[in-house]
Amino acid sequence: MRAETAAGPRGPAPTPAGDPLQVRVWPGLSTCGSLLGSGPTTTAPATDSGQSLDALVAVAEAAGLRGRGGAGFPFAVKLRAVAEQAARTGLAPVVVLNGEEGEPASAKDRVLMTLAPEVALDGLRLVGDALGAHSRYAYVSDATARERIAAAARTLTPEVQVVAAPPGYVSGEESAVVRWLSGGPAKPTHKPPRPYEEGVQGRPTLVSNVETLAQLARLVRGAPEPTLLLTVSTDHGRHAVVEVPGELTLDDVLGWLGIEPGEVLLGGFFGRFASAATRRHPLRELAARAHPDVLGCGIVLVLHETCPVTAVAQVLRYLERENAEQCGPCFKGIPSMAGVVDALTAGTAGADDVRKLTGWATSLRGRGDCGTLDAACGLVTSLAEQRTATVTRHLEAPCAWCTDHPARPEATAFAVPWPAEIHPTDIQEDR
Amino acid sequence: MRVDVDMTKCQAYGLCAEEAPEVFELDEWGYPVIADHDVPEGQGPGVLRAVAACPAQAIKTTD
Repeated sequence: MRAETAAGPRGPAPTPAGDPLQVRVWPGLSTCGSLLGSGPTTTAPATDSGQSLDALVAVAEAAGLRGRGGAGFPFAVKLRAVAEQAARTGLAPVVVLNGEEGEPASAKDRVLMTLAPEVALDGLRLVGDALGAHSRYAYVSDATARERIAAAARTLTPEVQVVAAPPGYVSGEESAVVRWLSGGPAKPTHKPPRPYEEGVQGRPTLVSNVETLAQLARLVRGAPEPTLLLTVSTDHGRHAVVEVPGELTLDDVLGWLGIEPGEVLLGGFFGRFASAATRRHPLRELAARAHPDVLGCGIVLVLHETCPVTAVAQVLRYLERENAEQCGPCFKGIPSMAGVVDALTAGTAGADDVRKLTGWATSLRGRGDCGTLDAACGLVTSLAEQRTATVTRHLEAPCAWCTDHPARPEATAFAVPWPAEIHPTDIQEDR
Repeated sequence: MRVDVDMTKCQAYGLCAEEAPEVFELDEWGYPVIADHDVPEGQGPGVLRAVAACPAQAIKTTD
């Protein structure tokens, strides 16, 4: 495959050159239907319309389909909530394909929109038809992906309005999507009301991640259970978007990709440091939130050399820069936590500072109106609780890694090279 | 009665904590923390004063 490397800012990892983005499909998946490969669920003609809402809910429920944008909310529950609110209010709902993949360490949605836009749009069509939608949107910031979606929509689903979303970490949050489509800034709003209660122009609104909708279309076409799209990156500069079955473990995936085990930050900027037990757990359970370590939007960051303290410092500085500047506890709290983690990397933090840090990570949780502050708190808590010895060592003296690789305020940690020029014929479909 | 603060609107004026200190406690940056969103017995009048006093109109109550 070919891919061009973006010359954007980079994280603390020693990846000045970086490798092109790989796309790989698990052996055998393409014969039973993959999203990214050439299997029957991608190439089969679009399903006939006429799936009733109950039928669609039943399909999503039976397969345990969950939102793949990060929150992992049961899709059937979301779909039914929108339908019930529409019935209560008499307002026809709005449906939105959310293609705003704000987190730089994730590329799976952009890859999916580039390679299989028609499957994602078919998912949007299915929910739009079942709900009797008033209007339908595809909300995408990335120009490459948006062009692919727009081109497919012109022939398949001309009723879909493809809109250019403003790029940003918070602009893919569902209330930010609703606010933007209603004419406001792409910033989260206070809940309640949630989008299903009061969304675009006050209508009940279903905002759903691209992969979730594509998985729904795939299930309707007869696939037995959802696959999982992951974005796997290493601090040695490898980046891959992979499609795998849910029964695999993280160790299976890393072994298949030939990536040496290392420290794994699972779930990306909203994630936690994975334990060895987590890495031997079926991914579908991590996706179903049946385990404390969750898959989130499927980001797997493998750190072979990067000190976890520097990694957290780098992500906190990113979240400090990217927060919506709306909620005080977020725009005051994240810089405060980042200050202590920075001091740890410099070997100048004391035990009192760390106590303060972990106190903030607990007391600030849930006090912002979107997930940004909770992401920062979760990461700090994971560092303090799961890498306690590492943190303690940094109280005595900075580690060699931190000394050589200070977190840079302007750098974006672990960004996947993008735009990548991906051609379906270049996909590695292992058989 | 339940009380809730829209944190996207709150500007840390702190008047809520003056009107109903038992309900609104301020954090180190001056933003309110609500221990119990269900307003305790007897605190209703203070909460309603806080709603009226908030310059950012960030406090909402529901029955």
